Amino acid sequence: MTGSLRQSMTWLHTWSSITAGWILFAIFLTGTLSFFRNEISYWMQPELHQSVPNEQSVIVAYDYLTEHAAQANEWQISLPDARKNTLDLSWTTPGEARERRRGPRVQLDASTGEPLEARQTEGGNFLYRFHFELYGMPREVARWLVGIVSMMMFVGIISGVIMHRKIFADFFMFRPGKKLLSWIDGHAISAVLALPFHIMITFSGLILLGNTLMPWNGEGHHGGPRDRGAGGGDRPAAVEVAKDFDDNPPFDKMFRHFEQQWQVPVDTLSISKPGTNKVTYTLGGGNRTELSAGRGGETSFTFDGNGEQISTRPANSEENTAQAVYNYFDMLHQARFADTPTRWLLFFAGILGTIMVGTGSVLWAVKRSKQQMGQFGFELIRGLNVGTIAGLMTACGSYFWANRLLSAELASRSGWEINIFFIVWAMGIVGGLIWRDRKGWLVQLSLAGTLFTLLPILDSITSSTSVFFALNNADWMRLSFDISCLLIAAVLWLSVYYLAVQKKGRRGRNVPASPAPKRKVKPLKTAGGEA
Amino acid sequence: MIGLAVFLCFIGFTLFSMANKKHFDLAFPEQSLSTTGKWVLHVVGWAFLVPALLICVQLWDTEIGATVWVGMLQLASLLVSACLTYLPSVYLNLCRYGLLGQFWSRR
Repeated sequence: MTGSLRQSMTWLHTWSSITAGWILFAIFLTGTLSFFRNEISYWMQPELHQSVPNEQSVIVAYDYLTEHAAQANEWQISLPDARKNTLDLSWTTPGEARERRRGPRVQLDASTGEPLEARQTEGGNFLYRFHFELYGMPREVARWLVGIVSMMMFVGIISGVIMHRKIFADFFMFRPGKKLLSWIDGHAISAVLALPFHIMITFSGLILLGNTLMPWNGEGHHGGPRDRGAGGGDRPAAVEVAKDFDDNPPFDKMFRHFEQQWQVPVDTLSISKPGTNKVTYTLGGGNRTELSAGRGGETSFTFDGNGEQISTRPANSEENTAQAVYNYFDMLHQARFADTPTRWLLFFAGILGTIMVGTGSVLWAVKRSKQQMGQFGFELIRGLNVGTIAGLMTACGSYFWANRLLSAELASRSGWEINIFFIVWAMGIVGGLIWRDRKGWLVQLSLAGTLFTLLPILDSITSSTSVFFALNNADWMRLSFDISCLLIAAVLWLSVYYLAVQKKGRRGRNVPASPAPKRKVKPLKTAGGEA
Repeated sequence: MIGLAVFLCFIGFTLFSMANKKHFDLAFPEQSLSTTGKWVLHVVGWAFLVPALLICVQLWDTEIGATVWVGMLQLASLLVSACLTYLPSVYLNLCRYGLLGQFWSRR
């Protein structure tokens, strides 16, 4: 009975996964990169790299607003934090045209207060959007498609757990240099060790797509009519008011109070009725303690003009259990709560997921290479493997290159960046279908390796400031992007090396077919016996 | 503190891996692992994982802390696996001399 269940699960696992494997690989890779969406966008806007935050940044913002937005009735200041180096300001002025719902906004250099004009780019948002809405197709269709493959992923995970013969016995087992066995181990280890993440990310992804997959829930999106507030009337007409700005607002006192209470830095400051005697300051920061509270799970403090705390807006709390569960998965999937170490942990698990999907697809082909070589279906899958896995890496590298090489003034340049991404990927797929063997892998992986290796140099040359400037000013967002590129390049070159060595091994008969890893197990075994 | 938590998870998982016959035989080819020994390794392994959880809760509060802890467990298990594969001497020495290995070595 177990045998037959296991067999049917193996069948289900194989066929449910291989048909969705390539699109899942793309979703996993772009989704994993989206954990660092802000950082990628920042890297892709080199005009912002000159901004170096300091203690005085809030004063810089305040001075800019008193000068340029004196008549506004509310100022919003988004301060530099671990994921942002610029000052983002926006304000609302009475009498502004109603269609400008958000009011004017500006991005400033955090130390000089000079307005920064970043190039037009989708940045990390393209990768983020792509991972659940794909590109160039109606949103609903894309969401359905992503929903279906996510469901297949979920089926793959569950059937994979059932079909795994020795989930505990082989828990830590990786045997390199053994061809099929190594691929199986690699696939299993990347799946089993990060299983909690895989289940969480797939399940929460399905929940986030819930409105698409189950559109008959009787309510609008997120349980409420969307046109709330429509027809609320025009804003009051502009009346020039004499303003008297406090030259020395009590920022120090308020910030200290907030930061002592929460042990996190202030990252948003909104000033209501600035320049009047009714001015209030509202401070917020990443002080969330609960995931189930959902968006708005942060507590903010409001202070009067003298810096005395007058009220607290407590974090939202969930309305009911279902909402709490939804919030919990929403927060987890989108990593909205995550600080830097947590974000890296999620990223690391996402990489394991990407490896799991990639090794699974390759494993399918390796397993059947002897029997099915030359058959149409097998060759198609083999070719698509090269084109989606290695081709997508090249496409991602090209996307970053295009960002720096396309002229900053080019019309619809963000569209062109994306076009280049897809053109390169399409070329990768065509190339993969033509050269389906080792050569195809070698060429495409080397190409991707070259692109990623040179990215930090390209960054240094084409940004307004060099990498040394970033190093001097501890600009970790930019540096970690560059370092990650080098790490990705190292992995790509390592794969190229292994492929090349294997090839050599096949040609020379005396050389083992795969590189023999330097394992010192045997001598130690005897040593252990003596011990 | 974060590094310490990851390290505790790593030790915990190393103990779990020792409770696996395959890896145990590698470290102590002349000994056999009894059921009691297996249980001891598991319990002591958990005794390392729980403090790591407490550190995470201390740093991030319950909900987020528990989530981060699971992320750390994933990282630690991969580290153990990588150590076992690519640094077998480090792994075996850790088993024999670092952890509960003395218990089996002396017999």
